[in-house]
Amino acid sequence: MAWKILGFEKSPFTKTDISSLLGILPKFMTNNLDSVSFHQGNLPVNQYSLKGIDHARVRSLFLPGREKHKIIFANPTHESEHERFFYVARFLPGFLRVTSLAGLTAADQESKTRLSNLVSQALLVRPADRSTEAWRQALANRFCAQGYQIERAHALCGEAEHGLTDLDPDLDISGCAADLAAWHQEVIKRLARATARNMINSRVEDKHARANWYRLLTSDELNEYEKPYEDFKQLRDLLATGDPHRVAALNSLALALRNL
Amino acid sequence: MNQECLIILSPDLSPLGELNLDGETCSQINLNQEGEELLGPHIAQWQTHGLDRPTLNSIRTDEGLGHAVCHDQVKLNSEDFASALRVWLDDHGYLHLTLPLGAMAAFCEIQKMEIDQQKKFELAVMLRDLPIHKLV
Repeated sequence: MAWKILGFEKSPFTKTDISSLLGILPKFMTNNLDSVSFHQGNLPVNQYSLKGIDHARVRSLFLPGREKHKIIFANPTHESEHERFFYVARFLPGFLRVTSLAGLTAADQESKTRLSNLVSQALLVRPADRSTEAWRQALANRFCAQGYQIERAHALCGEAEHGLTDLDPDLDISGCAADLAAWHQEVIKRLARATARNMINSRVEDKHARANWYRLLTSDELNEYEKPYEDFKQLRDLLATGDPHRVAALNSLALALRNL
Repeated sequence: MNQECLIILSPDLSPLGELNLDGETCSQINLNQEGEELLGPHIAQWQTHGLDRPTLNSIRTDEGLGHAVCHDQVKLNSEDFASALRVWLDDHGYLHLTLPLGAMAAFCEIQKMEIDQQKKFELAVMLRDLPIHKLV
């Protein structure tokens, strides 16, 4: 199976990010991955072969040519940096879900729909910590939200766990879910920082003023009298932690820069 | 028309707001302060551009048959919006519960109880599963 991802051009993603993502997906998903292609529209930009050990988990990526590649998501047109960031931040979790569904092997065809739903839920739930108990409770809450009664939701958690471990006995489900959540958070953090920096550089010409902006957004040593610290509290949280629920905070920077 | 409320909850199960639904069509969105901070800009985006719904499609290129992750936009007043929103909330770590309109008074009472958020959530799930005549 060749994967193709269509979208926009610029990205801070690296080989390590893709290795990390593929490394934590269970091997029944990566077994049939032959290559990952990145396109702009229908034109190939780069193609990467995946080298593993037969059907074992992918161990490395072979990336011919450049060190950095371009991840592309769905070809949007955006007028501003923060809108592009906003789009990627919204798109990324759904991308992980649909690509995890596509990763199931043909051997699972009979129970594919049911298992695919369980898999995507199980891997994309956001546990409070890496413990199996936290993962199970988070997954049960999701099943409840989707209409299952509480007892049935907990039974489904057991099915998800057995189904996944039958396919991959070495799979640490709660660890995978925690790793995916952490990876997502790291991506958001780096994207947000890069976007904030580009936004400031494009609107603020004086280098001392730029430095002051960066300090306002990232320094731990601001005193209580420094304004507009309170206005940017959520944005500072976003840049420090990559909390995906704070992605909208970048709008406050766009507004402030527009009013300069 | 079946009138319901789609309640949106944060990852730690605190309510952020609700959507009033007529069938699957959204008639009104109400957010509290935390909900406005977290979801307000997203909703503003959806009002102008629609809600992005990623889909996996088979495509054929010069290299052969493959899969492409594409997206479409679901308008706020579309019959698909509520289901698309539920998927978006799932993908982004939020939770949601759809309750009959008649259950909202009881839901508000549950929120006032001195118990942890997990227990409030489970009570709300049980409330959802009660037969409608028991809520009158």
